[in-house]
Order: sequence, then C-alpha cells, then structure tokens
Amino acid sequence: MLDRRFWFILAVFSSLIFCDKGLQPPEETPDMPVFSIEPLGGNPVGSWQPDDSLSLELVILDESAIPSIVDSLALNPRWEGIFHFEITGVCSISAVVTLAPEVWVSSLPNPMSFLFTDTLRASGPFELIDDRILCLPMENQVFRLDTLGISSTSRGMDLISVNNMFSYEGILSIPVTLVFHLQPLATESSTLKISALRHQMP
Amino acid sequence: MNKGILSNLAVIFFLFVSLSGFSDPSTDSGSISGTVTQAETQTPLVGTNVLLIGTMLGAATDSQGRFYIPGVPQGIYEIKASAIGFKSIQKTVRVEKGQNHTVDFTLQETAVLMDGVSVTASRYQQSLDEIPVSVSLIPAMEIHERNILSVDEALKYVPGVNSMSGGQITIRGSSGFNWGVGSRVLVMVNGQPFMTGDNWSVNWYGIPTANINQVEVMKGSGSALYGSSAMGGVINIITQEPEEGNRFEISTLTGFYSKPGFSEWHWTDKRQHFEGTSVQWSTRLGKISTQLASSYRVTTGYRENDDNQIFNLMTMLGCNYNSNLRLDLMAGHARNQGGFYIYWKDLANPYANGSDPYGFRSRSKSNMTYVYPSVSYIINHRMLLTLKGRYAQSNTEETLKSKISLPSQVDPILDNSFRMSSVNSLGGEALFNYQISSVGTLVAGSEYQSDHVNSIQYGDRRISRASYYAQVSHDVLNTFKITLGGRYDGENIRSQGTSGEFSGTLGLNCDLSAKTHLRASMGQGFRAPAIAERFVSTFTGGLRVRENPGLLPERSLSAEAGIRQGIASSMTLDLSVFYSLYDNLIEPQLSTDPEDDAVVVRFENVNKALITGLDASLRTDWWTNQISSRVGYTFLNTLDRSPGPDYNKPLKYRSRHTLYVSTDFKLHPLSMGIDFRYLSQTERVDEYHKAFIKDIDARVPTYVASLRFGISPWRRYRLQLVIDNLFRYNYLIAPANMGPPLNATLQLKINS
Repeated sequence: MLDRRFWFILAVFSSLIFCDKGLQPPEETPDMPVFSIEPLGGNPVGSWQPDDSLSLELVILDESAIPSIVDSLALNPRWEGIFHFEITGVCSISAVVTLAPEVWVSSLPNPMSFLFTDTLRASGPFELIDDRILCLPMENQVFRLDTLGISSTSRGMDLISVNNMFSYEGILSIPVTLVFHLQPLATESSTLKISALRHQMP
Repeated sequence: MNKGILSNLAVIFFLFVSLSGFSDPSTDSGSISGTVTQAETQTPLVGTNVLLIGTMLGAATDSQGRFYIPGVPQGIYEIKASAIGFKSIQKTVRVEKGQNHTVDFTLQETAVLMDGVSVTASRYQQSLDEIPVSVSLIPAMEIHERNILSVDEALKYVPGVNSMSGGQITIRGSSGFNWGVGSRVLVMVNGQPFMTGDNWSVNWYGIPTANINQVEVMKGSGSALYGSSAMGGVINIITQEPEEGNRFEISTLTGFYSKPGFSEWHWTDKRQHFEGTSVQWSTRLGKISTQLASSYRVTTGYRENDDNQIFNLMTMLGCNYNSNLRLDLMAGHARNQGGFYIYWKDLANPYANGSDPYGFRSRSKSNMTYVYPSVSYIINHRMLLTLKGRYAQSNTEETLKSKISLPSQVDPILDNSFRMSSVNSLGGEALFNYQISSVGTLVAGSEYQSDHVNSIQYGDRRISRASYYAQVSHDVLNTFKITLGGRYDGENIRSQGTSGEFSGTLGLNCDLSAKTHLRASMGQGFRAPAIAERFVSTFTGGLRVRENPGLLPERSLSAEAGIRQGIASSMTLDLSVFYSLYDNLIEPQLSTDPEDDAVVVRFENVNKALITGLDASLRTDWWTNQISSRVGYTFLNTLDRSPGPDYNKPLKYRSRHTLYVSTDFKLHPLSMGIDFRYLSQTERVDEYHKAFIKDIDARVPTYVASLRFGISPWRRYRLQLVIDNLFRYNYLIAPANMGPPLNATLQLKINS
C-alpha cells in the first residue's frame, strides 16, 4: 500500500514539474516601427555633428501625396547642430532642421521658394532597442524624432526618422523619412572623455 | 608602520614571551602512538582525528592509519578518535615520563549524528554536539560528485542557504539581493577571510575545489567571535591535510548548455559550452608538507556577454618544526576575466544583457594575490598560541567594448577602464586557546586589518579595523555546556573618524542521551558598511549612484534553539527554530540629490526587519551507506519593520519555503544520485529596481532537478556525468537573472 502511495505521489509530482515550464515569454509583442530604409544597428554614444558630405536626406514616402498641380518639388534639406549621447543613457540634442523647398507649378512662371525651419532641443534618457532603434525624449516637434532607426557606418552614423509629415498651409502634406548623416564631432575625443569622467569621479 | 599594528604586535609579543614560561620541560612528557582501522574491512582509516580530551594535543592519521602525539605530560587522559561517517571511540591512557604508549582504535561505520565530525565554528576543533549554533557540513565528496568547480555552487544544497547569481550567499534570509556588495556572510579559507576589501564580497574565483576537505556553514550571527560581516553566518572552507608520500589528482570536465526553453528566447546559434581542468598535488616528507591546487575553467556562459575564464592556484606549505611548533603558509594567485552580466534586457529577451551601457559590452578583469602565514605554538598541553598574518592584493577593472566598430577617434577612449578598484589588505591575528581544566575552555584573540582602496568609483580610501574577542565554555555535570563570549570591533576610516561595536553571545548545549543533543544560543551581530556602500560614485542603467559616508553599521540580535536526534540506527534529524531582529539594514534607495536636483541611487540605513523560521534536515542511510538520502527544509517568515507603507510586509527577495532533497545510490563501481531544489517565489521586489530593470516583477518558484552518474572502472579512474535542470525549467537565480537551462557535464578524474 505504501509503495502505491509513493509511486502515485511521485507520478503527480513529476507531472507537475513536466507541465510547469516556469517563466514564459510575454504574450504581447512590442510594436516596432517599420523603417523604409533598413537600420543596420550601431552605437550612438558620442558627440555627433552633420556629415560634411551628406548631412540630411529626405525621402518622400508617398509620391502620390504630392498634389497634381505640382510639377516638381525640391525640398533642399539641411541641418546644423549636435547630437550628444552619453554612455549613461542620457542624451542632449540641439539642432536646427532647415528646408528650402522649391515648388514648380505649371501655371506659374517661376518656382515658389520659401524657408522652413524647425528647432530641435531635447535632453533626457534615451533608449536603444535591439541595437537598431533609438528612442529619444522628443515631444511636440514638427518633425518627429522620437523614434529613430540607427545605422553605423565606417564614416559615422545615420539616424533614420519615419512618421514625419511635411506640411505647408494645406498645399502640401507629404509623408517623408528623414535620414541624418552624422560624423563624430571634431573635438569628440576630449568631449567623451570628460563626459565619462564626470560620472566616475567621487 | 601604523600605530594600531604596533600596539597589537606588542600585545602578541608580550603574550608569547609570558606564556612561553609555561612550557612543559620535554623530560616530563611521554608520547602516544597507534593506528586507526575500519572495523568492517580492517583497512587503515586516513585523516582520523585523534584528540586528547581536555588538552590542545592531537594528531590526524596518515595514509597507513597511524598517528603519533608527542610531548604529552605524564598523567591519565581520555583519548578520542573520530572520523566522518564513523562512530567515535574514547579510551583511557596513562602516560609515563619518557615512554611511548600505544593505543589502537577500530571504528565502525555509522550514519548516526555524524558524531565524528570536527568543526572549527568556535575557532578550535569540536564535535557538532558541542557547538551551540546550527552548523551544516559539506564533505569534499559531495562537491566532487556534483562536478562543482566553484564552492558557491555547492552551497545551493545546504538547508537555509541560498546561493544567488554573482556568488552572493544568504543564510536564513539575512540578505535579499545586494548586487554582490556588503556580504552579511563571512567566508574564510582555513580560518582566513577571503573577502574583498572594497565591496566586501567573496572572492570565490580564487578558491580551487580540488583540495577541499569540508565546508562548514555556521548559521546565525557569528559576530561575537568573527566580527563584522559574520552577522548572517560564517562559511569556513577547510582544505585537506597532505598525507604521507605523494598524491596527485587531475580532473578534466566538459559540458554544454541546451538552448533556452522557448524559441523566442534563442539569442545565439552557437552552442554554449564550458570546460575545466583542475589538479592537485600534495606530499609529506618528514616534517615538511606541501600542497598545490589549481584549476582553469572557461565558459561561454548561457547568456549574452556572460563568458568567463578563471584561473586559480593555491599553494600550502606546512612544517612541524618540532612537537610544539608548526609553521604554515597559504599563498595563491587567481585571475578572472570575462563578460559582465548583471541583469536581463526584459522578459522577452531574458538571456540578453540589459545591464550593459547602450551599445557596449562591459568586460571585467580581476586578479588577486594573497599570502597567509601562520605559526602555531603549543605552549604546554593546555595552551596553544596561533599567530596569523594576512596580505592580499586585488584588482578589478571594468572596460567597455563597442558592439560595432566605431570611428577611430572614439574607440581608443572606450578601451580605458571606466570602473577600476585596487585593494591592498594587510592584517594579522593572535589566537590563544587555553584548556582551563578538563571541563573549561578559553578562546581569546586579537585581530587587525587595514585596507587601502584606490578606485575610480570609490576614491582613495583607507580603513583600519582592530578587534579583541574572548569566549569561555564550561561543561557542567558532563551534560551541559555553557558558552559565553564577546568581541569588540573598532574601526577607523581616514577623514571619517573612529567608531566601535561590541557583540556578545551566550550558548547552551545539553546532551540528553547519546542520540539526543539540544542546543540554544543568543547573540548580537553587526556589520560595518563596506567601502563600496559608503563611497561609491558611479552610474548603473542610466541612474547615478552617489556616496553616503554617514552610513551606520547594521545591527542584529538573533537566537535559536535546536535539537539533533538520532532515530533508530540509520537516521538523524536536526531541527532548529530561529529568531533574528535586524536594525539599520543597508539597502540601495532612490533619492533626490540636492547637488544637481537629479534622481540618484544611494545606500541608506533604511530597514528594520524581523525574521523567524525553522530549519529541518533529515539524513538517512541504509544498507551500509549504499543508499543515503538527505532532506532539508527551511521556513522563513520575514517582516519589514521599517515605519512606513511597507511595515509588516515580507522582506524583498526572500523565499518563504526552501526544500532540498538528495538521494544517492552506490553499488561499486557505480553510483547514482538525484538532487532536487525547491524555492518558493520571492514575495517582494525592490521598487527602485523598476526604474531601470524591465520586467523585474516576473518571478516563479524554483524547481530544479539534477541527475548524477558515476563509475570507477579502475581504482584510480572515475568518470562522472551530471545533468542539471533536467526538466528544462525556466527559473531565476536572482532578480532579472535566468538560471541555467538544462546543462550536462562529463568529468574524468585520475588520481595516483
């Protein structure tokens, strides 16, 4: 009788262990932004400035969004400023994005030109997800830079921003992707070293 | 030289000179020799302790089972032979001047009460029944049969002990999870502390397992004899005594980790594996004994950036200069380098490293060198003076490596260390054992230690500690034994001033019968804050960690009552109930830094806590130890007694129930064993961890089963296979730290 009980308890116990796998992956999968250009991943730490050769690239995601009245569109993007990412996970951004669109409309003899400027200032903790997606503490900007794809190259780093809409007084409302091409700040070495030491020394 | 060292040396010198006057003239003494054999097989018993009751004299048997005790003053003595797994025997011998007396022992195997075991919990050898606190022992065999290469792994199987990720040990819930800083358990090797001077954590990587004889785990506060950090208990690792002639042993192992339990968790296509080799060589030639133990192990780890390489070497020299004087030297070097995994990224990626700074891998390098000399001088048959020295030097360095290639301007800077700590520790101890009479014993001593820490994250710090302790025990009516002791610890930190703490203890043992032993004890404990807790200034997970030089020592008051009961001829039950009250417990807390108005982490005296509980262990052996079983259960009721919203809530990171079951089957040349560990789910987590660790709330109970097989086809060869986490259960070994998935280890051991 004792033996039967023993085997019964052992069987129940073993079944419980076999069935229970302990911790399990969460059921929800996080929403990942889809980038039109595949971010290759990388490391944002450091101080970055516009790449002299190719500073800002603007890709129109949906050509059909351009009104038919517009024959041709040149957005002429550029940016100035510094992106600074510390190894502590804190960033500070000070940049100005400038667009100087030239719109050719068939009924007009000359292209329309105007200047469009957006100032980006932010500081706070940033987050890197899967080495490919950079989350910034951005709020209420015309250009949304809160979620960026990241690609490191031998030259420097590219930051890819989707979900941007270039709008102009109801005439234009075009979804665009911004690609910031960056290179290490000229004084990068000393900046990073000082920044790191600031957090280490008592 | 430091003033503290000079004053202590003066005291030691005075003691030595004064007590030398008590030396027995050798002409008044005789000697005792004999052999110890095993009753069943009539073979010699090696390593048996033979002690003259009521004196400091004794010997251990050599490979032929022989012992020799010289310098015994004439008189009548009780002589006792005891060995693990055998029933002790006591005989009477009359010693005449200038004569040698032969006493032979034949010991019978027994599982009852393990009464042959001697432990050093009271700084001198005693049997378990004479110690007023709970002590668990891990024999060397248990370490070797589990293919264990690091001692902290072996502690997982001791009731009341929890070994967490990073080598953190907690006994009876004395600690939660403290990131390996400020251990509340003191770890020693042959009575010499093996703790780092900066973090006050354990240097497990420096301890080879090949030459371990046994590990003694003293539960409950040991501060009254061992001072700071023994508040939660003491672990003393005792190495083997070299035998006559040469002994050589080499073992090599290889193993692998299975893939994680869910395909979503796979983080690499490579097979994760580990390898290791350990060697031990010892010899005794006349008065000189030498021992060398070394191990090398390398693992890819089973998590991202969890790879590791460890090398350690420990040498021991012993010289029985004459019958009264013994010189010992323990020295060694160890290196440890690899990844620095602290916690996971999140529950969706539990094997990915979440603790690395963004886009980097933290790499860590440590090394340690130590020299521990000691001199034991038998002043006369009742007095023993031991002088110990300590010098240890350790370095730890953490560097960052980018996961991708960075522009050349950036990369060289990141190669530099961003955390670094170098520690020089110098210390010594004078220990005086005095057998006052056949029923009374005095242990008294003084310790000194000075730590100099030079660190990026802790600064340049010097700390000195001096302490004085004494403990008296007295037998009453051959049934009761009363123990009373106290210790004063003084501490001086440069630029911080001096402080002192007193800890007292009272213990009682009662032998109701040969099979029933009662014990009770009460003791104060304290732990001085580690340099890391006081002075750390760094960052982790994007949060800044700031210093708090004003930290106060932790204090405790603990009590326990226990019984060790032999049941029939093959079963031993050990039961304890315990109570511990803690004050000023140090824990990391989120707070606001007035300097820059930022949220920072700082170690603070925040907790009062009450822990009550029960420890039970049952050991059974059948058919002359061919089947043996051990069951250990611990119940913890932990209550946070800090005023505020958490009052009376359970303490963080403690399991209410832990259960260990281990069964061994032996049929020469085969052996097989099953281990099972259960820990109930921890009831609370640290709120501040939520600020930077994702899914820290994800917790489950722990169920881990392991299977062991061994075969000794020839006398000198042994092959062992261990399969751990047999059911591929996904559990945690610390907050946000997955335990290893199923892993298998094959070990080949050859000895001469």
